[in-house]
Parts: sequence; structure tokens; C-alpha cells
Amino acid sequence: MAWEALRSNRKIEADGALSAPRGLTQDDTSLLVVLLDTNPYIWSQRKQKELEWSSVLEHVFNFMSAYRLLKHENRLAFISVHPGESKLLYPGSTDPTGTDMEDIKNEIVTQLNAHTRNEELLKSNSGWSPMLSGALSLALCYINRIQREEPLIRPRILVLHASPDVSNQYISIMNCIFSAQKKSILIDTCILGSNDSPFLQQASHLTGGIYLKPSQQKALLQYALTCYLPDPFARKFLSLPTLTRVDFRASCFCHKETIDMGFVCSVCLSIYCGITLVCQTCGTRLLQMGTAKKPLVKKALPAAPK
Amino acid sequence: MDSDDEKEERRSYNWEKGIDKTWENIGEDDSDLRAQERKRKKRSTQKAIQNVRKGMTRYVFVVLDLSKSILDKDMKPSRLTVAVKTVEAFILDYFDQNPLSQMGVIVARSSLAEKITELSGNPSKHISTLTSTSTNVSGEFSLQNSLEVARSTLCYVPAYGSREIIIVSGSLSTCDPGDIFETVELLKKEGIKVHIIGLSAEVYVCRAVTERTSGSYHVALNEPHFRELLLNLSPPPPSSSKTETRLIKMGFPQRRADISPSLCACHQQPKYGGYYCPQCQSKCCELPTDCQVCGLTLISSPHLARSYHHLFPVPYFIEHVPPVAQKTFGRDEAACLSCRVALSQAAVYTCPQCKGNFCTECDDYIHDSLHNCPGCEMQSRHNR
Repeated sequence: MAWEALRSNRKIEADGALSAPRGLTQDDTSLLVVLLDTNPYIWSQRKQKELEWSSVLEHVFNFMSAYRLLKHENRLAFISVHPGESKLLYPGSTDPTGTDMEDIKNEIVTQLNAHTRNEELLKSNSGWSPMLSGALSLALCYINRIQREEPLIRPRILVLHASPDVSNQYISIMNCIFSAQKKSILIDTCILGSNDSPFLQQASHLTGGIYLKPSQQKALLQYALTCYLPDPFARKFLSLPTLTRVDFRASCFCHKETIDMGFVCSVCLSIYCGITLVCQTCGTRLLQMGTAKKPLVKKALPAAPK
Repeated sequence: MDSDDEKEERRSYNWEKGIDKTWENIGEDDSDLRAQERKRKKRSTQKAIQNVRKGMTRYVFVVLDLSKSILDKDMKPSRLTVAVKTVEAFILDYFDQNPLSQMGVIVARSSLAEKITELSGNPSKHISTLTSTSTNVSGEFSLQNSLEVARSTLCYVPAYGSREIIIVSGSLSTCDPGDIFETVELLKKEGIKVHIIGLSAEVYVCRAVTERTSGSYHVALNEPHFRELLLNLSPPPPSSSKTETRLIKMGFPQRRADISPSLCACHQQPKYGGYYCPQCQSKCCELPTDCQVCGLTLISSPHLARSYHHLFPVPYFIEHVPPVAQKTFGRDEAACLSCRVALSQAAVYTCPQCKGNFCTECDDYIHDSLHNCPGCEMQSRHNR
């Protein structure tokens, strides 16, 4: 993707031009948005070797306080990724009572308890899919707001995820990734579940973040401190885990199978693994390869599903 | 203003400061009437084409006028610099919004038109060629020659694509070898649209050409207006009824790194890594492209995903002024759903689907860049 490289080059040039007069304030404050999977179904079914919910929370809080110790002005946000509703837990809608780590911790825990014990929320959802796309959208909107107030802040996102991917969130997650890429926001991911997440692999790969699936979950804090704590500038000097292989193959809309060659509808770009006469997404009659030029019936595109 | 004063004090003496370009700091106040007006206009036009079938694969030729008239200095520092810069911005934006599309660049000078880059999907090549060619300016502008050169390539592109010519011209005259309306008839038959942006004044022949080919003709008032006009052409246009709909065979190659270098099919140079065509196993260096050997369109799935937001757009939020009593919004709704800023006197935007309330900034960001409504994303999708 040549234009991405080009754009990032330009970014560096622009940054270089900016940083000269700033002098000592060059190491800008950063904003870290932590997205934690709070899916109760996943956390209640942990295997022997996997980390318990309470210790995960403990590790995350320790990491957050280490991050705050790096620089006094560093800002922090915390979003829970919950089935049915993702929520910005810190900073809450009310003004924070204090900026002490202990206060932040208390506020998050109280909010988290209220949030996760909300029985109605669980009952109203027959499925158990946590709203990762919603949480990412929230994080990006929040970052957009903070960037407006402080244009020099360096934002990044850390996703701690344990649930499996939900295929119908694909488009919205990709939208989030591209938007983050445009604003050069890193998305770091840490997988605490048993399976790799192709969505988050792509997220980290495309935004230049780190994707990690720790083999020793007991050492989560150690992984986090070495990999996710350094800012993008410091990461250049460290040898950090890299993704050797990202699967960019597409999956067809009809059977959800991964294919390396397929047929794409010219109107709505739906992917099919075989030849179809009518596109199932947009309802257009499709001409076959090497047939007459005139289409048989012209149908208007129905209203978008959203 | 207070913070500005403080900064002034800290910087002490005038002669210690750098050059202070005061005219650059002039902004509008909070109400920002002009921006609001622009936004309203943009909404109304975009709303109209939201649910229309769009031409997702575009084949565009950008024609840049490099005749003597482009050296005029009515735009600062000169028309040429402004035009080249803006066209570069357009090329980047075009490939961002249309990842499956291709583009070529033509320059018109000395009454001739010269194709400097062939149709391709590589923005950096277009930009580098354009910057190196644009130093040489001479002679007159020829509209007919430019159209003919573009047509000779565009008539061979696949019929499912949308064919367009975008001309940036600073000339008030054209130096043509024959009857231009014959060319226009040919363009019309091929279904090629011509868009022209003039930098000086309206010219009858340009208006006639664009009207007959159902394109658009605008004359730029100043630099920002020119930029706006050109960048308005980058989102995919509504497709015309002439374009056919068909299934396109595409390959999704994997990137592989080899131990020893092998020749790539596109540059004939030994390279270590590359994408291998799933049909003929030939190697190419970058995506998206057409396989040099078997002609299969090669893309990766993020390219397709980048286009989906044009097809499944976020519904436009309804703008309204909130009632005075904030309590009516209930517990949380007094704040913007996504960024938690208190919704005050400014306008509130409500999503028609999830009924979430958003602030102006989030509304802009959601529709311009994110293309997701956070409220709808959080409401359980499986109910739909």
C-alpha cells in the first residue's frame, strides 16, 4: 500500500518541522485509552493456565499507574468492552474526585461493579458478543475530542481482549482501524483468550501497534511494562514482538470461507466464492464473464442495511 | 485570550521573537457561521446521493494545463504551484477514498497533450512524475488534444468502471486541430464524463463540453475554493445507468518472503518479498494491481473494506437545539454519547436509529472519518 507509506513519510516531515521550535517540550504528553474486555461469560470460564479476572484487573491497574508515573501530564481513559454496552468508565461523566491512582482505581471499580451487575443488560442480550466495534468507536471519538483541546497530545489505544471475534462487526472494526490509521493512532493489542484474533491482528498491523498473545499469562504485567509502556519513539530502540504473518485473505459472503481467488460484485463489492446470477447483498442482476454487454434488468440499490 | 497574553509576557521582547504572522491567526468566533453554512450545504448535497448506486471502480485521467497562462500570479505564489500542490492532495485523497480505482496524469502544453503516467494505482509514482514534469511550462492549452489523449486510453478500460476526465485549466482559450464537438460526441458515446475546474474565468466551450458529457464545470474563486472544488471530486460518484454490472474475478494474494531473490513480473527486478498471483504464481511488488501475466485483478481485503463505508453509510444525524432544561435528557444523555462532553447551548445531533445524542465535533468526526455510529454499534447487532 504505497500511499500509506507516502502519507506516513509526510507525517514525519511535518512532525520534524514542528518539533524544532518546541525545543524542550518535545516529549509530548500522551493519552492512553485502555479497552478491557469485561465479558462475564468469558471470565467465568477461565482455564487452569489462564489468568483470573481479579488478577487481570490488578495487573491492568498496576500498568496504568506505571504509565502515569512516566509523566505527570499523561492522560488516561478506561473503557469497558461489555456485551450490549461499552462504556467510558474513566473519566466519568462527573468530574473525577481526584487524580490520584487510588481514586481512579476506586472510581473504575465502582463503575465496573455497577455496570457488570446490571442484570437487565445481560438478560436483554441473547448473544454474548462484546461490542468491540462500539468500544473502539467510543475511544476514537474521545481521542478526537481531547485532540481538539490539546492538539499536541499523542494518543494510543491498548486493547485487552479475551472474547472471540464477531464476524458481523468486521466492517465497523475496519472503519475504526482506517480512521485510527489516518490520525496515526497506534492500536496495541493483548490477547488474553485462547484464540488469535484476526481483526485485532489487522488493527495492530495497519496502525503500527504491537499485537501480542502472551504465552505466560501470569506475567501479564511484565509483558505490558516491556511492550506497551514505551511510547512510539522509544519503541524504535527496542526489539519488540512483531507479527510475522497477517492473514489478509478475504472471506466470501456466501459461505464465510477464506478464499484466495473469488468473484466480486462490481456494484457493492460483495465477495463470492462461486458464480451467482443475482447479488445477495444489493439485489443486482449480474452479467457473467464474457456475455453480452447489456444488463438484463436494472434495479435500484435498496436502502442501505444500516 | 488570557492564555495568549501570558505567552506574550513569557516571550519577553519583540525583537527576540520570530516573525509573527498576525494575519494567519485570524479565526472566527465560536458561532463559526461560515463553517456551519458550509456544513449544512454539504449535508444536503450528500444526503441526496446517499442511497444511490455508486461507481466504486473509477478510471480517471487528470489533465493539468501547463500552458503559459498557468504562470499567472493571481493565486499566491503562482497558479502553477497552487495547482500542482492541490492536484497532489487530490491524488492522495482519491486513492484513499477509491482504493480499487486507477488514475493517470496528462499535461497539456505547447498545444499538445502528453500522457506522463499510464493508468495505475500507485499515487507516489503520479506525484513524483507530476512534480518533475511541471517545471517545464510553454505554449498554449489544447482542450481537444487533451480529451483525445485521455479517450484513446479510457475507451479500453472495463465497462463496469466509471470513466472520468478531470481538467484543471487556467487558460481562456484553446488551440484545437479540429471540431471539438465531434470529440465530445465520441466521449458521450463511450460514457466518459468530463469535469473541468477553471482558474481564471468561465469559458463557453468548457461549459458546453461538461454539460454534454454530464460532468461538472466550476471556476475557482481563490485557493481554498479551488481545493474544495477539486477534493469534492474524490468521493465515488453516482454511477450512470450505462455502466454494466457484473462479477469481477479477483485474486487475494498472500505476501511471501523468499530466501533468495526472484524476478518480479512488474519491474523485472530481483526482489525478496512479493505477492504471488493465486492463478499463475507470478510475483508482483504491490497491491492493488492487475497481474502482468494473466491479467487477474489482485487486491487485499483491507482495500475492499476501505470502500465499504461508501456503501453502508452512517445515517445523517438530526440537528436540533436542546430544550433549556437539561434534565429532560435523563441520566446520561445530558452529555455527548461518545465523548462525554456536556451538551450545552450548541446544537445537538441525534442519530435517527439509536437515538443517541452527539455534540458537533463528534458528529463531524463520525461522518467525515469514522463512518460508525458508536450508539448503533453498542446496541446489540444480533437483534437486527
